[in-house]
Amino acid sequence: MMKNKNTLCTLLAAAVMLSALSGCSAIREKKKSELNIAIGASPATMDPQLVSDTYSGRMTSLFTCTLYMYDENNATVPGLAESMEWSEDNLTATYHLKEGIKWSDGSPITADDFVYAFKHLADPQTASSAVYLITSCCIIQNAVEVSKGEAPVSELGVSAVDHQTFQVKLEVPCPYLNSLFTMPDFAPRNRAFCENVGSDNYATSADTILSSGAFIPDLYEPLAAQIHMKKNPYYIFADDSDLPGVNIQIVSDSQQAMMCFETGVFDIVSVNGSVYELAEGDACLHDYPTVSTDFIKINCKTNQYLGNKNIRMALSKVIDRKSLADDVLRTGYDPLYAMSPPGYFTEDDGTDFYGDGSRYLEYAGFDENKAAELWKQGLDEIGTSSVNVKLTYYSGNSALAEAIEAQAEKALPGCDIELDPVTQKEYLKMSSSGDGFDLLIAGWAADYGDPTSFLNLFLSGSGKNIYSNDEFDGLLDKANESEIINTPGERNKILHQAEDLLMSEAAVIPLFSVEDSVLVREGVTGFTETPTSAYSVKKLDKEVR
Amino acid sequence: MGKYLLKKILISIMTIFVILLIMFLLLQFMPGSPFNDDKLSPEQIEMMRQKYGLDQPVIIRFFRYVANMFKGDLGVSYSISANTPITTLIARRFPVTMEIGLVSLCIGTFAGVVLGLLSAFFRSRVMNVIYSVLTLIGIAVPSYLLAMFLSYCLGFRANLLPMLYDVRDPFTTSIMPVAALSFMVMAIIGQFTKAEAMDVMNSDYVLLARCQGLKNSTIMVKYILRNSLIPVITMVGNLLVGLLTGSLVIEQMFSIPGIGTLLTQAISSNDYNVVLGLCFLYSGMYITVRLVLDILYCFADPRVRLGGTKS
Amino acid sequence: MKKVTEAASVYVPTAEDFVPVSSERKTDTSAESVGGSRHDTVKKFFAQKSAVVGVVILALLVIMSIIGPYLSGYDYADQELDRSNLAPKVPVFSEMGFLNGSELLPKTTGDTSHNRYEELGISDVYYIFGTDSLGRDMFSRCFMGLRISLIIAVVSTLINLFIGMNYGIISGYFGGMADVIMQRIADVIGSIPTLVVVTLLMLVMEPGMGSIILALMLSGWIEMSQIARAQVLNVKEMEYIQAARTLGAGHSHIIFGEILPNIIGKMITQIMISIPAAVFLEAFLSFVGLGMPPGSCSLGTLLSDGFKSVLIHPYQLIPSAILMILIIVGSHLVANGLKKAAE
Repeated sequence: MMKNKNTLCTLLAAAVMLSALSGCSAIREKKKSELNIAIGASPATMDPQLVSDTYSGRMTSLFTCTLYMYDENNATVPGLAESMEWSEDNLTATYHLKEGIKWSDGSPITADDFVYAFKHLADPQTASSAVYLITSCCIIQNAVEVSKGEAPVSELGVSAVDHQTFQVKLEVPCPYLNSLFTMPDFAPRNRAFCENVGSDNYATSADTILSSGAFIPDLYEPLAAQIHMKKNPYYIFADDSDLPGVNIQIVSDSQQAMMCFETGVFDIVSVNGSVYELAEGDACLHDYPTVSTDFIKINCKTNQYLGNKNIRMALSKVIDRKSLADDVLRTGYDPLYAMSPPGYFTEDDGTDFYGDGSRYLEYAGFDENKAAELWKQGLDEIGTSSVNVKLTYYSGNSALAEAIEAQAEKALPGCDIELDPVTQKEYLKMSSSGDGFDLLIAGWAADYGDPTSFLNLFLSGSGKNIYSNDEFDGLLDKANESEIINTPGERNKILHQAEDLLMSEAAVIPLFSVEDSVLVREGVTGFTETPTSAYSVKKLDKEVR
Repeated sequence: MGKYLLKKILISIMTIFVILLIMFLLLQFMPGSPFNDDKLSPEQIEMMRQKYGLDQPVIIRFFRYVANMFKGDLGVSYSISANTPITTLIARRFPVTMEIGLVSLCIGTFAGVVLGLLSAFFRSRVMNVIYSVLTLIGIAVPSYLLAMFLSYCLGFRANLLPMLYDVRDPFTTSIMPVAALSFMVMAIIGQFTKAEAMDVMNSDYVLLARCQGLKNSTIMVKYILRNSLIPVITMVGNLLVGLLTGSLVIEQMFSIPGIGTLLTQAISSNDYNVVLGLCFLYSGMYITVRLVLDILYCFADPRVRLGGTKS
Repeated sequence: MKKVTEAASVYVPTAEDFVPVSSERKTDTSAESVGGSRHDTVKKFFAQKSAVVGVVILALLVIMSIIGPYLSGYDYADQELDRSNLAPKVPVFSEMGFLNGSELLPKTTGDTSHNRYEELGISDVYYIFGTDSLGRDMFSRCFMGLRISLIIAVVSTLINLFIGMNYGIISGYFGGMADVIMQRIADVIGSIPTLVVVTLLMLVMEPGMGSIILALMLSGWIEMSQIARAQVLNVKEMEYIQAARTLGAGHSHIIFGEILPNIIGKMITQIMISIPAAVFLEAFLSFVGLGMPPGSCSLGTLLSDGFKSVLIHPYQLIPSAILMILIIVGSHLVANGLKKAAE
């Protein structure tokens, strides 16, 4: 017995040594020329039409190309499409595809691939959680009925006019359609290939993925800890970069990722939370706006105190967002005084939609005295001397919640905030149902380049059940009317009115706009994060030293 | 004997079913559903529930689950890796965890036996200190702290070993996790071996052998080694299951694609089917190991066999 | 045991001995049968240096868990956001340039040393263990965490002991069908790995002290009951038990008067093994994200919080890690000492 064990161990030890010597150096050499990226979690899916989370979006954007895409400056530019035009009534969009676009197996990408992809997205059989992109972000003709199974998939308002021309029919005008179509969920899908591997098996392994984008995955399995992709020679912008491949490793522990960056294992690492201290002041550290907002959802309907506007505004004005961002959160958060964050939405003249935020300071700017005054007024209106509200939050946000509690209770006499930490699961449930909380620390990320991506949250029928105001609903409806869309400047004016209304009613307490801090090693070029937190890959390259 | 074994096996199978039922019922009380997404509308969630048959009553789902299980189908993952069969997920990850677990077990056991025997034979002060320190560290320091320490010193500061697991280079990249895991095994086996060896050395038959003038080395190999090692085997089963538990945090630290990371991910995203499948796997393994050990022990020790038939 | 048999062999029974035992008598017999050896056990136990060290460590830990949170003058839950992440600073040592509040950050741009006390202009403030990311005093937090963890471990172990011992004694003492059924039930429950039971329970219940204790309880009593049962089976056939039975003692007298005192030694040893295991498990749960709710404080939450920033502020992990290691070392030494003393 003993002897056997001995030999076994010796063998094992020898095997370890041998393989260490042989395997290691080749892989290291390869890694040097490739781009090594650490991401925090494994993508939930690699099937573009199923993508609904950031990590899946990031990974799929590496091997998909869409009709339109973001360039290095986050402007929406043509991708696979050469050009597009709107019909007179703004309800039909016609996309003309580029010449010579190809799949990674060399076959041509045609308009039919887009039709197939869109229909797959809408198909109730697919049960994609991204279907809201075509049923509420933009409303493609019959998409709602098709996705509920009330109409056959063939009824969906998309068609291939010819091999090169793809047409989308909408039910409501959608001026931001191109920026919406940058999402990987709108990437083409090769019918022959999918039917060959079985549509449900598509993208479940490296062999079952057909790439239309910059790279071809050659190492992938569901929930992989490692993903490797090689260059796609058929990519339409293949000549823009010499990068032979990308090597992605899932590292959930941000310290481990940081140590690996310092020892040179990774070229790109996201920095969040406490590790920021280590990267602070490094020239390699870049901040990318993620176009997402952290805010406090107010349940105006069920809580008797929160139904009062003055109480809500007092709570909003009592929060010192700057000190929270600097002292508690430390990195990646900027104070925000409205729902639509800066840095993405623009006016017709190119200036920022949010501006410097000063127009909202009246409603949400930090002012303890004004807050106390409003508070007292509110209390008198309700006829009470103390208010007890529950502040619910995902337990990861406890530092923020505890600090907000302290600020509010200090400045507002008779204010009693009860902290209620919940798990991520419960948080998501509350957030989507709008039930079970008074105040909820929530977050929302933009899906497309229009402020309605945020404002739609507060529509009466949005299913989130937190706020309803007929005037607000009317303004947002008006913003999608054809004549408003066609009059320059008119639409944004209406959207501003809507946002002002929202803020003056203090229907929500905006907190921060969120940024993504990323360490990018010197020598990596063309790297940027798109507004939807995907990687911009067109010109991604690395200088080998 | 045969009857005894049959009974053991039957009980084990029954136990597995009971566990499965308990787990199935427990999971019904889990807060939230796997389709928690800010951006899903209630109708869409209802559709997803229908698609996966979650709208059926619990008992029907249970029997359906068991029936499918016999066909080797544990269902599909709902959220962490949409539509991937659980069996595929487990089949890919289980070998990785097992490999690291078994290697740690072998190395740890070997080191532990050597440590235990050495300290039983050479009862010098120095040896005693070495033994005490090593076993105390192994028992008192959790493997994840040890792993962090190793990772910081050898990986980060000295840059000698890779800090992350790489499927293309599993050997060098698993040195640190294996080292962290095997320390605990070494300590436990070391203590146990020492106690057993001391017992044997003080036993009458060793005394007799000494009186007969047998050589020290003969006594050591023929008597002490053999008789003190058989009980060690019984420890191995429990340790193996313990290792799989301990590796949960280790796997996360070193980004090892094993079942530990799968379990933590499944827990945090409410993926019932994956949690169920994994709990079932853990229980099944635990029961099998216990069964195998029972049988082995039954062959090795006639007293158990006789006692077993009586009860 | 030898002593008893010898005594019995020379003892000539008188009529008095055949009177059913009274409650006074009960203590007598048990004292005679095992009391002498128990006294020896205590002596033997304290004769071992390592065991004494273990007892001292545990005693200190218990004392500190009671008074520790009040020593530093800062409350364990009070936040001072502008005093976050201060490194340890100890009055006497800081004069010697050691533990003076400076820390070394392994920044991406190279290692840099800095002293946050000086940056913040609070050079006259001392935090012996430093502060955490919300500016809470680590000293108070550590000992508060120690208290909570000890409470969780001790309460769950005592409940385990109670359930397990009763279950084991009843099963072993009465034997027969009752034993078979009870053992089958225990077998089934015992075959579920602790990890699985605890994980599932923690998923279903609200996180908190009660649910952790319950989870630890459900998985821990089996072992206790097995040990109790084995001991009962051993003791049951001893002469003195049979003697007691012959004298007409009832079941409850035999169980509580005769058997219980004899298995208590083994049970104490088992307690000393279970307590660190419970502390370990609690910490593990925090790591997997199933432990005490945020805001509360236990060694587990302190460890997992400290672990998240060990690279940047290692001092936030080290004290709680040392406390946990001390609990385990202390109990281990005591358990070992008990085992040796009992031999």
